[in-house]
Amino acid sequence: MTPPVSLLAEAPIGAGSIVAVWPWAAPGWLWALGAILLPILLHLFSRGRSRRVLVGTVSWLRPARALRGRRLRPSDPGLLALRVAALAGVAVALAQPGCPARAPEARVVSLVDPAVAGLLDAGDAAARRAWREFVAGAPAGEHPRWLIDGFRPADLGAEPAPGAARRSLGAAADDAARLPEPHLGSLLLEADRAEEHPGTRLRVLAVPRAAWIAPRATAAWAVGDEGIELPVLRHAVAWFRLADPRPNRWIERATRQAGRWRILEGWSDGAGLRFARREEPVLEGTAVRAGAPLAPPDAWPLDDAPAAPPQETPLAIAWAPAPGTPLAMRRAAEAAIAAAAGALDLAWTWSDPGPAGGVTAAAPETPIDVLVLAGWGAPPAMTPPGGPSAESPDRVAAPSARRAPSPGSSEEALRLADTVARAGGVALWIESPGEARWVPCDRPIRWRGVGGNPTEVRSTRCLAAPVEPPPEHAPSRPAGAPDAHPDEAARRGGRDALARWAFAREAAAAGAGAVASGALLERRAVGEGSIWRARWPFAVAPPDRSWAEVWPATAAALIDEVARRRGRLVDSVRASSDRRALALDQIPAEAAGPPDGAPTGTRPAAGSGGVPRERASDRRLEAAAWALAVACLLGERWRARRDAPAGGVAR
Amino acid sequence: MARAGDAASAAPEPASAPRAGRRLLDPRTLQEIGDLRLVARAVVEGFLAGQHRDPRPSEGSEFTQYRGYEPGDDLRRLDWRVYARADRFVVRESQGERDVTVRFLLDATRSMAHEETERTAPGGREAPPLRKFDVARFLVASLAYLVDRQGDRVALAAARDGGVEALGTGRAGRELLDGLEALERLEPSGDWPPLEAALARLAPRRRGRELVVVVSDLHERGEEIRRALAALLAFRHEVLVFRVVARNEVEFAFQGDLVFEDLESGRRVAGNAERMRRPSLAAREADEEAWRRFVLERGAGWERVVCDEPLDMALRGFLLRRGRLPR
Repeated sequence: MTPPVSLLAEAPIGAGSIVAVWPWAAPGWLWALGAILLPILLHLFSRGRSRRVLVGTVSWLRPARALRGRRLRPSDPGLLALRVAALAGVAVALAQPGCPARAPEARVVSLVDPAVAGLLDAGDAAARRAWREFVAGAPAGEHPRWLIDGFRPADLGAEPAPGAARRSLGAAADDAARLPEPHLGSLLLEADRAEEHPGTRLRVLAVPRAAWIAPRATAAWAVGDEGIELPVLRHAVAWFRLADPRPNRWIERATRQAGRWRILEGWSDGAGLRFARREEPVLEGTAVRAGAPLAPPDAWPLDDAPAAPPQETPLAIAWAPAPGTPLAMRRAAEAAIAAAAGALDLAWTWSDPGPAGGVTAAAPETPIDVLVLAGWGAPPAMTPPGGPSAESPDRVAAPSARRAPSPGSSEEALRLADTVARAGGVALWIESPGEARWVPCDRPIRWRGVGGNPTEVRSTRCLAAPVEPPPEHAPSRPAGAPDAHPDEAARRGGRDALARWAFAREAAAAGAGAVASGALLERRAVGEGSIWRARWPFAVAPPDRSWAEVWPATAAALIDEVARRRGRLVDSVRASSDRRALALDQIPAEAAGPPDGAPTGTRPAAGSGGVPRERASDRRLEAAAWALAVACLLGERWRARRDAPAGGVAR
Repeated sequence: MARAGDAASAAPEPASAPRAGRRLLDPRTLQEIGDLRLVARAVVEGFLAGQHRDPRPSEGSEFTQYRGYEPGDDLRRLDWRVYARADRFVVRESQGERDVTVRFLLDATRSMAHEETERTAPGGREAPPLRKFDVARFLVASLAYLVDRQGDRVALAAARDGGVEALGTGRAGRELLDGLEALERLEPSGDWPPLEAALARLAPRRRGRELVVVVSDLHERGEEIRRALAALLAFRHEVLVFRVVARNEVEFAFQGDLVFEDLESGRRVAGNAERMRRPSLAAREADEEAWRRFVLERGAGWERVVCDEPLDMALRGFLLRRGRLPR
């Protein structure tokens, strides 16, 4: 996609003034320039200490009238200038100015949110003003680039937010907030190129809703749409996310206000992509690699995490978003899972079963280890037929046999999950917060902070799925009344979800907790497999935290659980999880151990005739165990010889 | 410098003055000598070496007394007959030589401690500061030596600490030596005495007129020095005023921002020397002109002595004034 030709013609290519920003390694020392006031003041006021001369009489002495005025003038400008120059030189040297010769080699990458193009096409006046300002600030010869190619804004309207009427993108400002986020893949590419060219400046013109620049450093990313696999970034880059379209105080500080728009500027200095700091030493909401110059104190120590041994056979994770799932939610979930898997250093592949169920319940084409379900409405799987207490909770209701599952319904998702679970895989059901509700908890829930934040938040409320209302919130239903449709129950249970979600945000804003993200997993055994469902009690997450920052915990826990069940990577993965400070304390007790009857060794791969998979790590573990045993035996013999008395008779 | 009535201006510069003699008259050279008796002798001898006429008066013919020889006495005045008889040196003194008393009144107030800025001795060495008082002391010693050599009576007095004190024991024949010893120990202090205290010492004690030589910087708070001079003139004394000034005063050779502090009153005046030079020099010239006019209008002699200049001009002016005295 390209910007409108008319607007591109307005771009003053070559006429933009290059603002020469001198690179300073330690600009804080520039404050030391204030020290030049010291010699000036000393020079002026030292004149008051005149030399004393004893004379016979002062009766005929006539003091000059302009003595005071002259005292304030430097008597020795040369000496004063020398002192001032010496101090200024020291201050500048401490500030470590960069080599100005590198300035012409600086590279500027200008990226424009596609939503801007949509609004420009719609004739939005604010968008035109922002565009002109953005172009005017571009250096000579630099053409702004659009983030998403071939993805016209008109197409974005096909996936409006649920419940919102479809309108033209430029018709209302609210539509801009519903636009998808800038394409992470393109941005990653640009960021990766920026890493190769220190001094590259990255300019982003984005709608102030959800502009994120790059994920964690070690996060591998694959773009499923075009099948492009992007390289893993060598360095950590900034995580910059404008999650909330509403005015945000750190956005106000970090970005330049251009009407309703924000213009972000960042550059790469070899240590990572950084964004311009206006007032704050570290942008709030920005996570940088630990040890980087701009790393916040609670940056995640990605580089310090022990690397898990690679899997020879990658896990297959299937991603099954429901039809109609908001694109933003899909992107966030994808990023979260990718980041979590990448952080755990697990080789993995990506397969998108597609909205129609590329993974069919009957015979999935590829063995699926993990199935991620999202946006499938209210999952009736946890609801035993006939009410919550009618049957054992371990029994999972079978898909409704009375009628065929409608596309996009929870029953279809349940069939997929059931298929994967029966094959030994794990299904992760991700609910959107809007489908959950607040319920009082019978015991306090402690949430541990993420990112090394030791803050613990006690909460007596949690979000519960609408299909599992507590008894006091159970829908009153006359006896003998027919069961309500699960989707109907979901809608009924989610009526006040938004209000409670708003309450959660208010609680977070009031300081209920810095960051307390986590996943409350609930597992139900299904045959040999299980279905995992994640509840999202993220009420204590600040408003500027979004799903993408929360879901990695669940995804990591999921992968951890998969590995644990199979007896692989138990220690290393769990250690990695601990390093990431994932708040898994609240996992129910049944999740701590393998489910009853679950296979702990290899499992027959679906579609492979039940041939067990041989793992190289098994052989390595076995060899290591044997080596350890032999070493212990030899060590015992050596110690017995050493402790034997010299010259003694060996028994 | 050359003004009407100025004794120094009336006397031409002796063109035949030996260079060594001129050098010996330099106050900085005298400062290195230290001993006032040697200073006085060097000054007088150096000065007299360039004179065409021996200014010494002839000895009196009327014998007065013998006295013992003391170092410094002219050997020609030894009575060799007495030596042949008694085997001791005696000096013959005659009556009539001591009819005129020359009284030196030295200003020894604190203002005389004013120092010259230049501290370089003739040999290029750094010398101690040359004060007005030092120059005045050299001048008094030299004049006293000259007077004594001329056969006149010498009386030394210093005005300081609110009074006038006589220098020396006053014994007959030892006025000069005792006076020079006392003068050597004298240091400036205090203020000029009031008129009553000055009159108690300056009033004539015997018949005859006196030559009163006032050596001072003429710095006064009120008009105490003027009153004293007027009183001396009222006693019909012959008065000769030597005003001692420093070179840095005459030229205002100061630089930079300075705080000038009055040695007597302690009053301070701060200012930039360059900016103060012109008005201050004008005020000082006016002050000196007023003093000169005051002195000359009353029939007294006026001589100005600059600290770093040789003393021959002062000696010449003194001799001219001395010649006006009746014998």
